[in-house]
Amino acid sequence: MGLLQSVTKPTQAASAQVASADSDADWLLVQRAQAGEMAAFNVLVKKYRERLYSVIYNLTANREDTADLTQDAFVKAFQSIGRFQGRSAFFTWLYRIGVNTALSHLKKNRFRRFLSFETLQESALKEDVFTAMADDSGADKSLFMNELQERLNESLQKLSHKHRTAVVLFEIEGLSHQEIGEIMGCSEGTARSRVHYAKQQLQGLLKDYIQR
Amino acid sequence: MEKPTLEDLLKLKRHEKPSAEFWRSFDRELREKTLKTVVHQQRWNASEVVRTVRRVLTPVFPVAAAALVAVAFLVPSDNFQSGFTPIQDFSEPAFAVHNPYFVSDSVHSSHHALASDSHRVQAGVGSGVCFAEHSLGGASSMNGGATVVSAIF
Repeated sequence: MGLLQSVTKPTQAASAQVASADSDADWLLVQRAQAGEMAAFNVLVKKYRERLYSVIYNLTANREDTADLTQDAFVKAFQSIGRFQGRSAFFTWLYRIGVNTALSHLKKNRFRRFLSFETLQESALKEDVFTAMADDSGADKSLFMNELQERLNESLQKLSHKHRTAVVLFEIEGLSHQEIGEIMGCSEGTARSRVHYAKQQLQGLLKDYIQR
Repeated sequence: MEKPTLEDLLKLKRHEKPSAEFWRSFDRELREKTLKTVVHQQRWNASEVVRTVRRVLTPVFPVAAAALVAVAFLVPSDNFQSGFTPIQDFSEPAFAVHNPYFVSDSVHSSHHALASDSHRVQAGVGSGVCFAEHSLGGASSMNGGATVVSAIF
């Protein structure tokens, strides 16, 4: 236990230092963007476009809408970057804009929804657990993975917006409960409870594919 | 067969990514959208300035116009020539000669003065002297006949 603690603590401290340095670098770029330097904003776009795209995609499960919504979120961030005061991390602020943009879109289009998924990268097929599952099922590996992907996305879409956002940010994006609370405008406890409840629902929906 | 956990399954979502080609077109479209926003913002700012100026000027304009008209009537103008035909009276030639500026305060004296002016006009033609009459309040009978007569050299 003592050994685990001694290993964990420096790792946490190092990751906190990296996060802080990252946040400082972002803040410098934000200040340059606020002064009207477009190139600085482009650096921020390049840095966060994939992560923001991923959040919006996992909320909407529609890749065509995701491209537009991600661009809209960046345009909104560009328009209001002058009002960003650095009280939270830049990525938290950007995620909040992205999440709000995606949720507004979902509310507006709740009666005409269709799903379109991104292609699974080759790297997914290298994950041991899925390779073993595919081999056991006797099906073609990529077909099996596509089915799994479809079931997972459908199940996510059955969750409420709040629960979906919480579980996407926690399990897929790897954010902390505190960061999720900041993004969703709720307490850390509420964020934790939403993640827990969302996972319970997903367990039920995906019971044929996962361990109990 | 060992099934994956929910967490493992959710990690599968991290492998759903668009291609590098997608990001090139994404960047181009985003740049266009951002520039459009900048242009739209500038246009909006310009139109907002015009709208604000119009909003301020609309109620002010009639008042300003009325003030201008009033000023035009009240401030003596060298270009304004009276259409009043002076009565030619040569009875007091010496008065006009010795009093080129004066204000009369009665209809009688006004007429008297004008009569003298006409005399001066006639007398001053050769020496480049002429007279102009300005009526305060528009009519001499309304303000007790007060009439300003100034000489222009």
